[in-house]
Amino acid sequence: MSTELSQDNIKKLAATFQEQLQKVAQPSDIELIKRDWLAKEGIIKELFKGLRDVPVEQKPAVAALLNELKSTVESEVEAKEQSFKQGALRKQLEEEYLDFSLPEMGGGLGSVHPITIVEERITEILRPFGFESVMGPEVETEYYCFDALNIPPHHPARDMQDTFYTETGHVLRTHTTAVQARMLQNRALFEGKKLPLKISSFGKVYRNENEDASHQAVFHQYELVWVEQGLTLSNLQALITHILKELYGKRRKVQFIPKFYPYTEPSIGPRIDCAICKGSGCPACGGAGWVTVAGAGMIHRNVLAEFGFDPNEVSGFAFGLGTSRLAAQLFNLPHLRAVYDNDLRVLREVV
Amino acid sequence: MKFHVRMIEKLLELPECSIESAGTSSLRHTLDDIGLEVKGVEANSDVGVVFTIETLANRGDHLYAIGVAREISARTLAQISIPTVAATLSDRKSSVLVRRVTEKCSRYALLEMSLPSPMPLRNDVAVYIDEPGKRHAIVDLLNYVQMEFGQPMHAFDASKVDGEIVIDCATKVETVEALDGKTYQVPEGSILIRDRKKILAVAGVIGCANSMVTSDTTKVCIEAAVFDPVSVRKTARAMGLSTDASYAFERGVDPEGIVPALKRLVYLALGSAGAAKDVSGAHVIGYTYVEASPPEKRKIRVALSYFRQQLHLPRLEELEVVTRFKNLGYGVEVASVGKDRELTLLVPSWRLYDVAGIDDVLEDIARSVGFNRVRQELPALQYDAPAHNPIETIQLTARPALRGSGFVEVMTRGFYSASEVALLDSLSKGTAARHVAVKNSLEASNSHMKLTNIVSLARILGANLKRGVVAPKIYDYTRVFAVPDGVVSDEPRQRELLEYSYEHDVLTLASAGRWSDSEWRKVESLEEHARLFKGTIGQVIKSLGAVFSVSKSEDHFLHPGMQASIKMGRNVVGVLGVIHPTIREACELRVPAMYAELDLRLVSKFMSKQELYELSDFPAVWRDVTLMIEPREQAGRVVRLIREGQAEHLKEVQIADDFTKSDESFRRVTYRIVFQSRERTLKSDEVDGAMTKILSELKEKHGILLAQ
Repeated sequence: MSTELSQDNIKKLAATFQEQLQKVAQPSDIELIKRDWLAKEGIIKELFKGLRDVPVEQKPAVAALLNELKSTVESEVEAKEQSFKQGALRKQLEEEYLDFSLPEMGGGLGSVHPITIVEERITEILRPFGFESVMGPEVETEYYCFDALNIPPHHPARDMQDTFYTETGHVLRTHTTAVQARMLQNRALFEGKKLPLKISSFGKVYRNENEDASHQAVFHQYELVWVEQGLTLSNLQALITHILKELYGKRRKVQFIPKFYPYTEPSIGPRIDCAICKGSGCPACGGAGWVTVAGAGMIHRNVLAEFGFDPNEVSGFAFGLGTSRLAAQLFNLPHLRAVYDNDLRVLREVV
Repeated sequence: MKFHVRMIEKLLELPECSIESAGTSSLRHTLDDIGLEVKGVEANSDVGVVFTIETLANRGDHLYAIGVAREISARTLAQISIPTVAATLSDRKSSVLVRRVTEKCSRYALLEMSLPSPMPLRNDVAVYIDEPGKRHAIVDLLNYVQMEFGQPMHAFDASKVDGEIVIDCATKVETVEALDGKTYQVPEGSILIRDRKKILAVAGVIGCANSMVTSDTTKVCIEAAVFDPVSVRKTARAMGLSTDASYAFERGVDPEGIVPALKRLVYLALGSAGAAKDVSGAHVIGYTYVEASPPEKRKIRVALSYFRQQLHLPRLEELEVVTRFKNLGYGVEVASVGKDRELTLLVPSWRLYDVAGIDDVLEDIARSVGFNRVRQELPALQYDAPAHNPIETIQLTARPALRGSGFVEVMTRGFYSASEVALLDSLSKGTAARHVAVKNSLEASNSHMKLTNIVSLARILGANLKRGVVAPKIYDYTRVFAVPDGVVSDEPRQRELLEYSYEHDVLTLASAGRWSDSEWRKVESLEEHARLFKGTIGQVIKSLGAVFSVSKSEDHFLHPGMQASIKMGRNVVGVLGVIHPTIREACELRVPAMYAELDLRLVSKFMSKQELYELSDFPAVWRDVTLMIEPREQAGRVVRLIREGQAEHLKEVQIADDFTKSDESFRRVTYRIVFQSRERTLKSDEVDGAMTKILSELKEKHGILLAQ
């Protein structure tokens, strides 16, 4: 630029800048102004280069005016840019829209089966007591399923109608108590009868039933066995109450009624007030207001003796919780069959 | 059994129970609490309140009114009034001889009576009888006495009995026509009642038509006996028949109950006249009783402190314990032994079947005190909780990955039907023989234990698609079963106790339809679905701290061209693929579906504790190469081959693209081969050198060429 650097010229340039700025209509116009005025070879840089030729006495005033021009150009260009950005953002926000009432598209969470939830909760409740979780076969020998458990050959439970017999000469276990027999034998034969024996085991059990809404050929049990010196019926009832209260809440009522099982003596049936009718009686609880959720008792002395444990020295208790029934009660399901229907519309709702 | 409240009320004072509130009455709760669980309630002004109760399987004495009354009196401490009975039976022997040949009948009584004609049924008896008047009154009376005293009895028309009664066992299968008009096959070994010419009754089960009492009968032989419970049960099961009598004998009848029951019968039939002739001429003609030996006098000694300790009731009073035992029918003597008191309990004859030791009498006292009165004391906690077993650990660890991937846990049964087994056998010959077959299933669907879970899951997918579930994704931790190769010992070796030969734990997964529930999303292609499915398996295995690869497989239940085995290390631990169209069709599954099965015991061997490693500070360098791959070759195999070459600084190999040009008979698969050093930035010529080595090995050892 060849214009002589003077205060008048700077003022004229300032006016020119204002004229150009007034004409800016779109973001690309402001880019042209930035190129002309603020770039390396732009007007402002050139003016500063000419400052060295200004007479000394005018220099302060010219420099001040030049700085003022530079500052004005920079700030007004920036303001214009901001104005364009704001405008563009405003326009974008006015135009853009998402309808969040439309259906979601995520894959969604899966779920865990109600019976598994019950099994996992019971396992967690039992862990502080030191129970070791073990598994056992479902295709079982008659010895572990019956003979070892004080169920003689003529017992009704061994009838062909109640028990599945396989072509391999086995039975399908009718209860998880068969695991108890295996663990007692294992402890007796291979671990020097070390006590305490504390085990838990869960899984499927089988009954040869004509199936309908209330009879299943396959259902689930959760077995627990504790053998040690000095265990009492009181301990057993307390532990069952603890499990049920932890599972269902402290307000849930727990009762014990007499039962008969060949492998326990005394035998008891723990029951809880029905979740469906709150104890007033409904089809789910057979009108009783109570639902029996387990079979329990002190291990029969013949069972302990079968594996070489002296029943006069050692006592033990065991119980088999009906996890299907516990799950039905936990999720307010009126029929056990709903637990096994595998209807994903229901199972997905389980949290 | 039916429990008539009015009948028990005659014996003792009962807890509150009105017709209006029977279902919630305190009597109902008392019955539940003493082991007579109420399963049904009827109440009307004609019969009063009738409970249907479920009795304990070992308690024959709970099947009759006096037995129930004893149990209630032990709880409430009310006194029982035993019903009035005739003073004597008869001094004369019956004219019909009795011969007890088998030990399966421990005692047998025969009472000969002449009956009034016509014989009316007392109103106070008729009210408890179903359809009174349908049978001869003496038969209704026998049934009534069984309801009161528990002794099953049977009446023969004396004019049809030839000379003597013989109690023996069948030496062959016999055919009889019973009172119900039906013909039965009676198995060998059954106890039979015969006269000189014919079988009169199948002992303890049912009488025969040939000696039936009819309206013309004027003289009867009343049988009251004790038969072996096991023998009666076997016979009744074999005949497919359960009568009130067989039900009672199977649970054990009172060996000292015959005489009181007959005396009650005589009292009710003849009134106080008893053995003397009444005005109609009815009277007892004679009475014969035979027995093997008198019932055992079983005694049990137990310390009072034992009850207190077991029930955690330190203040349980001796008087209370003694009274409860006496009301249950025990003879009780008490003596001091040291600082303790010792009870000597004489077991009542009707309890000889189930009371053998101190545990049994503990149960009696606990039941009569009430299990809900036991003071509960929680055992001590133990803070070194043991680890989960390996299978359970996998289940717990992998569940979040499955849930996060949108999979829903289902529970399948253990069975397949014969037609399902045939379906599998049609795809893989010899499969049927590997199934564990069930001998006696009542349901056709339960005839075999399942060898694989594929049919079960395919059916669940099909059913849920029909229900309108658009993206069914399911998993099931289950057991599958197979007849093992070779001989399996059931000897209690430790391995067999803790493991087992006929079954193994598996994780099975399946999916069909869309991957996501949203119908707004574009439907995935089968390939995309399969890769998402494989991704879920990857997440599951990663959650276990392990890695997997795939290789070719030949699973006959999967689509032959769309399957792979799942490998961990060098071991095959499972299989994944598209369900075979034949299975899909049989399971009414109309769209292609994925299935995977992982053997959990094998997987557990590769689980490791997850460890993080320090990242390299130096940049990674990669090269993309496109190789020519056969159409039915697994692209992943090349990844494995490159990794096995162990080129220097090789970090990872990824499949970056897979495409086929229309005019080419091979696939072009692009591999991204990544190099990185932990010590320095790699130079370009180092990486090029490694690449040359990799490509040369692929070409020379495996015939895999670079695409042009």
